[in-house]
Amino acid sequence: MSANLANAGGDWIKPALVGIDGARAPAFPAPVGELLEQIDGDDALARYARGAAAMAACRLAAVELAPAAAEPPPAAPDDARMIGEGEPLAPALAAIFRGDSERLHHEACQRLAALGRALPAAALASALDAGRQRARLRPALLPVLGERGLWLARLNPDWRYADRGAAGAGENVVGEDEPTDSAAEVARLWQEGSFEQRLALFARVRAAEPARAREMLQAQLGELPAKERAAFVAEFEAGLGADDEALLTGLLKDRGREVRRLAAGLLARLPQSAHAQRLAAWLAPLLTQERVLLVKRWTLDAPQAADPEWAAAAIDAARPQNDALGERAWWLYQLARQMPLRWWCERTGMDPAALLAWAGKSDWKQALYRGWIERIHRDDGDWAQAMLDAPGRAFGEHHGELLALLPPAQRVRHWPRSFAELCRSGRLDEVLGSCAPGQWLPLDYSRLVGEGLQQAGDTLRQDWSLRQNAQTLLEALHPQALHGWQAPPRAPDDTPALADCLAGLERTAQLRRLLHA
Amino acid sequence: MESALTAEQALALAPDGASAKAATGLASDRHWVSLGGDAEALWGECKGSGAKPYQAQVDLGALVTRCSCPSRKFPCKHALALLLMHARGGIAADARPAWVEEWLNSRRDRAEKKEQAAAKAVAAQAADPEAAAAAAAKREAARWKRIDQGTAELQRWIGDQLRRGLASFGAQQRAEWTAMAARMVDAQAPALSAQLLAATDAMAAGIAGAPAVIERFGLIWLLREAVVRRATLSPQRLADVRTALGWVYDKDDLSTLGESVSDRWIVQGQRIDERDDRLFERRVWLRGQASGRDALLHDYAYGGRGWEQQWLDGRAVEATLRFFPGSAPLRALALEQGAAQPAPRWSQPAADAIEAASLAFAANPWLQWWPLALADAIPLYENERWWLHTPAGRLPLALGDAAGWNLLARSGGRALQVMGEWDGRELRPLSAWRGEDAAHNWSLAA
Repeated sequence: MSANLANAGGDWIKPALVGIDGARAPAFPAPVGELLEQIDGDDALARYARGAAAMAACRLAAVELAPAAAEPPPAAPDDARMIGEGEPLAPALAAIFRGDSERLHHEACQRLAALGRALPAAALASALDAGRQRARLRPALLPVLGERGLWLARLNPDWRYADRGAAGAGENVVGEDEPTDSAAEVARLWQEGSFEQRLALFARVRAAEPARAREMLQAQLGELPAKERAAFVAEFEAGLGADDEALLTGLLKDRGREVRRLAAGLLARLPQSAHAQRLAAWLAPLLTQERVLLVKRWTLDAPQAADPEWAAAAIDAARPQNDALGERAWWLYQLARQMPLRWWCERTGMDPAALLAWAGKSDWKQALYRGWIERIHRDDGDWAQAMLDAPGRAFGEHHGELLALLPPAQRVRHWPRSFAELCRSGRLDEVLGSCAPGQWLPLDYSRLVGEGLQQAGDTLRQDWSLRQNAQTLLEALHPQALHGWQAPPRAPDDTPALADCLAGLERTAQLRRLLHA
Repeated sequence: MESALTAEQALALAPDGASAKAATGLASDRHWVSLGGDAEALWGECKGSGAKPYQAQVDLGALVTRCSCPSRKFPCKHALALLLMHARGGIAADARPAWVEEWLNSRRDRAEKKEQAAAKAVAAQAADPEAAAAAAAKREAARWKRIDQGTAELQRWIGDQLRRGLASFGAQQRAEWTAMAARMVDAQAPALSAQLLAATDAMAAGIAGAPAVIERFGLIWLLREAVVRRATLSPQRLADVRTALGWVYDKDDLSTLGESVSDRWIVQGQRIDERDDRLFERRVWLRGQASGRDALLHDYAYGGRGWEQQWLDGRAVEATLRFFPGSAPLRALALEQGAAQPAPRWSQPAADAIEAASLAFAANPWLQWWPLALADAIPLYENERWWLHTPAGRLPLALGDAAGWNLLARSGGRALQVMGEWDGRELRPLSAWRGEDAAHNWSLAA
């Protein structure tokens, strides 16, 4: 536009930029110039200012549009799936995406997908922005963008993540950050992309061509800061295989402690890897069976001395000064946090609950418990169950993570049985945290705590930190538990903040009911 | 009760997003101690923070609301909630309680008193026309004197700026220009003050803004020359000059100078700007169905007192407007008006609209805006800015990014009707619609 303006201004503009003086009288185009000549006695300034006024008046009175050089780009194809502006869901969806609740965004997308519908026009721009900010919304968002949304996304470079979904419909590419159309594009992004983009690209390449991903990472390892190296190594978790051993083994000598730990942990999960075998060779002799009368009993001893080989296996011989563990326990703990939990069961024939009980009675309880909780992995559902059940909430501070490892239905029996208890126990975060956006709490449990929330006016009055959580809780309730649900009634002396909170609860319930009507 | 507004239209009245949100939360009868309505009004008592519930009421004709709550937002969330529930058919007809009756009566009384006062003023003038005229002439002469001095100073100052050259604009100039803008307020030429502030902003954005500023300076120079020669100007031209200075005619002036037009006026679009000091400025654009006249209602609201009348896009109101004089009269006051009814929107081919705008600017180069209501317009995003593609060419749009993408999403790349304010360089879209379905009608100014 600046070029247009300058052109529209023409030569007569320049003198006013550098300064008018009498010597250089600017030339105005013919009729204006001639008219100015006819006025006597003007100084250069007055002449110029009048000329500028005349030029301005002419321009205003002869509106000139930019010629429509090209036809506009093709319009979006019709899409019968798109929610029309007149449908009741349209304003509700627009309102949900004007807000920034990740849970509601997920829920709206999932619901539309279930209905076989696409987002209304009014919600598209904010929905595409939400997807730009939160990569994990994208798998849910892309299927409900519809023709209009994809058309719109192609016009805005910020929304390119959505475009790929259209080009490769049917391929398993949803949720990706950038298209992988060409090797050149991958190379460019790998070299120039932001950290998040490169991480997403790496995950994608790793899923499709693991060897290529390893090459890419190997080539750049030297240039990456430790934090980024660690993030890339963490990506090896998905699709971990024997082919990864060489690269990971190299990383055992990485300068970054976190990188070494991650690599060691991953290698330990590859039973055939040299690292896993060394680890077993160190740990196995410590775990022995002794026979007392007719009973066989497993006993464990911690290492007596540090092994010089440990340094190459991401195990620190030197105990940190302030660590709660003694020196030998520190060594044992480090071995335990690398060894897959399955190994202990296989070795002793005990199940996780029995192992926890056995370790609880041993001298090395602290070291083992700490190692095991750090080792637990999403394949270890039986361990999570056993740790949650461990007497005295031995793993209490980890319940959130442990619960997330269980299927939702199995979580319920670990939760407080009422809303009041939920608030008192301070475990609301744990319950909500185990329930990812797009997941709901089981129906019976939703009814139980929903009812409690409905009667929790007094608690909300006293506990302002609960207000935010109450909103999240309401967003995570099973939709069937919302029928007839009402926010706690108002009281005459409510503060504006509380009134806002109650109105917010009512609004969220209404939006969600509309969504599932 | 006549079905008045849709929920969307009711929410469009909200002064901000927070009020709209709060109102949706309140739009359920469990928050209300009482609710009722009839053909003219809605009312309800809402539990609030005081011992006594808030009494909220809506005059459905003028869409004026009142509430006993302390909110400075206008309309407040309670009144909006009433409209929302009404839209859903959730308010049953009922006999009017005394407090509603009182309010409606007091509104009627006030309107009558206003008319009486106006009549009195006219009568006073008629009783002693010479004295009244003499007093008015004295006031006018005093103001012209200040304007004369102010514009003379401004002309010298513009000369200095042009002599120095705009390329050297920097922080020091910025301060000087702002100070000059303040001087124009003292000179009782507030519109010139606004012009100078706009020029300062344009320069602060870079040298690309300079051509527009030079044109603006030229037009101000011309205005100064017109002030000097005001005795020789035609009444219309003199009115143009006064308007360009920001010297607004008052109601009494209009009763003699202004032209009255009765018509069914379609509300085409509107824009509300919040100024720093709780001052709201509103421009409502109307189009006369029979007269084919464009009209601008330009008013202000202070301290959250709200507007005397709400105008909803896409509705039409029978009203008599009195136009401010001028070569291309646009601004008007609404005198008598009936209730609003849904109405088809009006638009015209871009070539015709451009022709009308060109004629208006030719008649008065100091016009600030001219309304364009374009049929067959496709919004576009190209070269990192927003455009409107029409069969007559492309108009640059003055549009924020969020509003731009929303407009694009709604168009889907197809032609819409778009109404906006043309300032001679850019079109600021205020509303867009497709066909006659009220659901495809969007207000863009946010």
